[in-house]
Amino acid sequence: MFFSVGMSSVRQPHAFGRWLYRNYRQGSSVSAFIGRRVHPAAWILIGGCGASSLMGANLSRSIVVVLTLLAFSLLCVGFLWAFLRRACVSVIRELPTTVAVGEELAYELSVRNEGRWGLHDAFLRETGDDPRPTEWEFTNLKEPDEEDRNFFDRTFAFYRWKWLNERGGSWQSLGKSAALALDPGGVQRVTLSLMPLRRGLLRLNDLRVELPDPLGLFQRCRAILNEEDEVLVIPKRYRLPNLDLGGQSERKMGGEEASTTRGTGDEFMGLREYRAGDSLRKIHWKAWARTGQPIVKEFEEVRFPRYGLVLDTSLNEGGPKLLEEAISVAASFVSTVDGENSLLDLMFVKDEPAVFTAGRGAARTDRLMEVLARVEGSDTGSYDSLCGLVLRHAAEMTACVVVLSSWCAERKGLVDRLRSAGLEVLIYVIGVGEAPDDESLAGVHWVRVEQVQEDLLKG
Amino acid sequence: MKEEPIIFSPPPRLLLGVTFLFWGAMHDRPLPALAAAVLMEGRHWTNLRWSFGEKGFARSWQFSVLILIISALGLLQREERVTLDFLMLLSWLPFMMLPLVLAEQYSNERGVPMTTFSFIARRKLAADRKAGRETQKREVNLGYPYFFLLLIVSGMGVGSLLNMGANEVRYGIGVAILLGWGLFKMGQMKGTQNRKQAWLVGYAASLVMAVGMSWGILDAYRGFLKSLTRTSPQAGAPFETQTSIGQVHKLQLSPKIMWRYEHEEGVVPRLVRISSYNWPEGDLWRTRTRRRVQKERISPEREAGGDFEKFLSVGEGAFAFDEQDLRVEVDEFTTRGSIMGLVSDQALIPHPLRTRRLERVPTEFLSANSMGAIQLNGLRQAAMKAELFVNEMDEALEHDPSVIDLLCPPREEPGLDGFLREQGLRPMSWKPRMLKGSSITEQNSVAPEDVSTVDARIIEGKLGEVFRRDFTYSLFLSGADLGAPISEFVTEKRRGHCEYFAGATCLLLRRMGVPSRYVVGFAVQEESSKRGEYLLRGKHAHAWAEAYVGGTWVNEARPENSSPLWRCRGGKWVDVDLTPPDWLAEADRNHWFQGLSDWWQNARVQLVLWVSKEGIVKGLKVVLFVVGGGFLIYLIHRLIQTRGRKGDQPVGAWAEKVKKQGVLRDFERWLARRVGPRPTSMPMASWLRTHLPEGGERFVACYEAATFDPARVSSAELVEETRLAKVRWKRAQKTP
Repeated sequence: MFFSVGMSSVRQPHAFGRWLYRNYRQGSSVSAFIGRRVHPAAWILIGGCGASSLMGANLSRSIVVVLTLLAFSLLCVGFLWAFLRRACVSVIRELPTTVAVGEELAYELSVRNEGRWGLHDAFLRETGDDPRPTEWEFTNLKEPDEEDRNFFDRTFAFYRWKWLNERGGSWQSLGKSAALALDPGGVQRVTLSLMPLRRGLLRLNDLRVELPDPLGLFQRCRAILNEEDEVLVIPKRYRLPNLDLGGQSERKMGGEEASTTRGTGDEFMGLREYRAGDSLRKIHWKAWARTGQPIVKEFEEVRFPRYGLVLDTSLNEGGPKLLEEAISVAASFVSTVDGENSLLDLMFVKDEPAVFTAGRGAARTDRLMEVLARVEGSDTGSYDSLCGLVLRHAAEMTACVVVLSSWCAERKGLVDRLRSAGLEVLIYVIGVGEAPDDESLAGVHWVRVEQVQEDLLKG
Repeated sequence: MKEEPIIFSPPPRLLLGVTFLFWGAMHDRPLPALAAAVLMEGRHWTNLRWSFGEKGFARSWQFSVLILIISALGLLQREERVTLDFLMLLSWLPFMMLPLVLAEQYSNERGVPMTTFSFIARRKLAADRKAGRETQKREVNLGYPYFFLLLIVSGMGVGSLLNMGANEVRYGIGVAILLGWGLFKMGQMKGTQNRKQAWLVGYAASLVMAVGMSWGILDAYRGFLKSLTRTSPQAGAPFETQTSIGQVHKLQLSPKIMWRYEHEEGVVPRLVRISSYNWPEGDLWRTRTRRRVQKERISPEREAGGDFEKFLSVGEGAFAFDEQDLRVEVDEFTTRGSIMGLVSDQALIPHPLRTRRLERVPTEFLSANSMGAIQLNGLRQAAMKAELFVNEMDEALEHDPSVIDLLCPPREEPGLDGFLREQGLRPMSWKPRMLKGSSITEQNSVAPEDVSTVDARIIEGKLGEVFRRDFTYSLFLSGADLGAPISEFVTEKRRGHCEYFAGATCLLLRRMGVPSRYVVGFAVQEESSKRGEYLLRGKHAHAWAEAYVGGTWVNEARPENSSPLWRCRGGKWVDVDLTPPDWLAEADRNHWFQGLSDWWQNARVQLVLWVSKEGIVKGLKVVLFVVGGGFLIYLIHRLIQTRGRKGDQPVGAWAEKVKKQGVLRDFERWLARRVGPRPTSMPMASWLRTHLPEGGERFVACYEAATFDPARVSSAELVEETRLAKVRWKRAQKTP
């Protein structure tokens, strides 16, 4: 859950707020429960049944009761039919490991009828993630310009509830499957779609088979007890312009085995005396035999550019939405950097400084995507730790990209220290609206949260 | 604006048209039904479409509601047939809703915005837009709800479950076919109806169940009607009246004004009667009138049905009971007054005893029965203010008493006689001999004892004194032995309300040989702020007795008849109200808001009276015709002007393009007034980007779409974005 405005000071829910929250929560539960099981045709019949019984109450003067009874009978038959339907199926989902935010995920399911009877006119549907806010969120987060609403709306906070619901949930189910037609023991493959809305781990644990009555009034929703499946939702990525990170000629050490010695490449350079730690495979046996001393082969040293990607995970000043965009920008860099011919160190501070390296000879860049998918914001801005971390790796870095989730004095201090350390630094700041008139922002890429893509392409 | 999925799918082709024809067949109105069906289905055969927008739909809805209100007001004006008229009003409901439904049918929108039906919702939406908040567009397709409404009203007022005839069977079959069609198609649109056989089985099961239930309902309703007839007859009916005797609860007194009595001359009557009754049966008082009992005939020219006899017509709305009253000048009547209120046909008019003449009565004729009830027949309007003329010297409308007016239920006699003896009075020794059945035949060869006026007054005085001294008026009812409730009242409980006192007075007088009857009506008690005007509220409803004093019994049987026919002649009817007077204190309490309710009741009566005046209705019709005709012409003109075509490329595309350009030009002028004119060589988008604050890019995108790819953005969206851009600009100016 993220919000377009900064968090206000934390408040404890009062009794009325708790009561409201409970009511809204229970109300939406009941609404979702009924909405899933009752079709629009049934609502028309229910309303029509009520209206006709009122308008035709005088049986001596109207015959409308015939319609009332027919509508009531249809409702009863539909309800009983749906209630008595049974389904026993097992399902195996075939899911990719990762999916990006905002990209529709269509996946296949293998459905097997485990029951003794054939199964027809049934559908599968994933229950989407619960969009309802927590009590803390309902109490402490305000919709934009909420103070402009009237007293009634502010007191009952229904629009806040709606607003939070619209932004809640990490994914949405996109419809149901095609109709199942399964004989006992039969297997069918169907497709379902969903839309990831938030990065992180997407858990699919509530798959249901819908069993409508043939009149199209009600349906039974039976849960399928299959194993929970997960998909990692990686952050949204933006298109970046061609980056000139500098330092391309200064190749840093890389390769399959990092060691304190030269020579992990393929081109032979010469021989030298054995030193402790050298691999036995590099011993030049003939030279040892010739000289009587252990001699090892030395290869040409292979160096790749090494970039740092510093991510500011602090929620201070910026808030969750800016952090999300900062992560998306970082993810864009991860996917842009050539992992075959360079190394990328992702650095950030959560509870303690963390560095994840990917690229030539190290992990694949997908690994960094997974890390970014799981990054969480921190309430404290440990900029000293972050700065120390970057400076410790500064000697090995060709260039460094810093993505800040807002702009403040502490962040400015971080940037100044990195610059003064002589690092080639490319700084991106995610902010709300136009960049403030601040000299310290010279050389900084100000990216407006409302139009990130456009600002990134401006370079 | 965020669009949400539409509520309900549209009905299939022809469904609404056929349902309209079904309505026409049921109500025997083929032409309006055909016209409505053609209008409804015409959308499938023509490309004409309109873009009504939220405002257009709201106006259609308001127009529909206006028609409904005018129709309801017309109904209020005709209260005398309120039930039938209400059914008629309901049966035309789909036609009243036509403006809205046709707007939906012929619009380019998916459905009717939900805000159409709520003024508050529309205001809220406007406020949200003004504040730049994101709004949701929720629409509903009215096709299926309207279809169901048509099915409902098709069966209103065209038959009854109680007498299954051809009409009822036709309705049942029509509903089964149409509802099945609609339901099947609705399911198909959802994509769930893959199994037609299962659908047919389900529908057939529903039909069987509905038929079974209708039998059950019919039986239950018949049982209900029987119980209703036995325990709750129509109050104030001329043939019987239900009392609250024997019930256990507090008697509720309604403060509603039933009538207004304006006194003009003479002594103010303290009691105005509706009718009298002479036959006690448990908690009922019934009438055994001369026609029903003794088979007496009324002259054919004055027969008004039942026991009722027509008044003689004196002029337009003026009636006199007999020729003697015709000869009396208006000024010669001893008491004059007017009774005013809402009325219905065949209602009974409250009037003082000895009312002989009535004027300004809006009926075809007026009639009275032998119990003194005056009934309106062939009412022309829903309210009246009739003048009453009373002659104290004349006879009452009630016929002279017969032996029936001396009868007392046998189970009551011992108790009543014992009570009379306790009071030092001697019950009459004469025993009536009657053969009871559907008719009553007198078998008494000896005449009842005559009671002189003085004796009758002494008895009345004595009973009144005992009632005041030993009895208590109470609205709290306790259960009573319905076999002999009056005996129980006078000997044991001695607490009760006016019905107990009136019943006791009537039966005790009878036991003393004084012919008497039980009377219901109103006490003229509460004078309004207008001098001489008295309010007759529900709580002033009263019961008392009337006694025939000073009469002598004579046998009027014809010589050829073997059975005697005793009549008491030569006396006169007098009201005898022995209820302790403190009951009026109970009736005098009014709530603080009573004034408002009284005002509304009076206003309604006055409105109906005003509308009923000569020429007013005609004038109203002319005004309605002129206004309605003018509006219709304007509506057609506007519809022709704003017509479009089906699909994404309406005929008005050019107008739409012009409108978009106009919107953009207006916005450019608006912004130029604030930031200065756009440099000649500067592209519009760059200029907008330069000057618009945060969020301005959204407007620029909208501008570019409107300019280079018009299909991507509608003029409504452009207007909305323009407004939002202005709001943002103003807000940015306020922010330091």
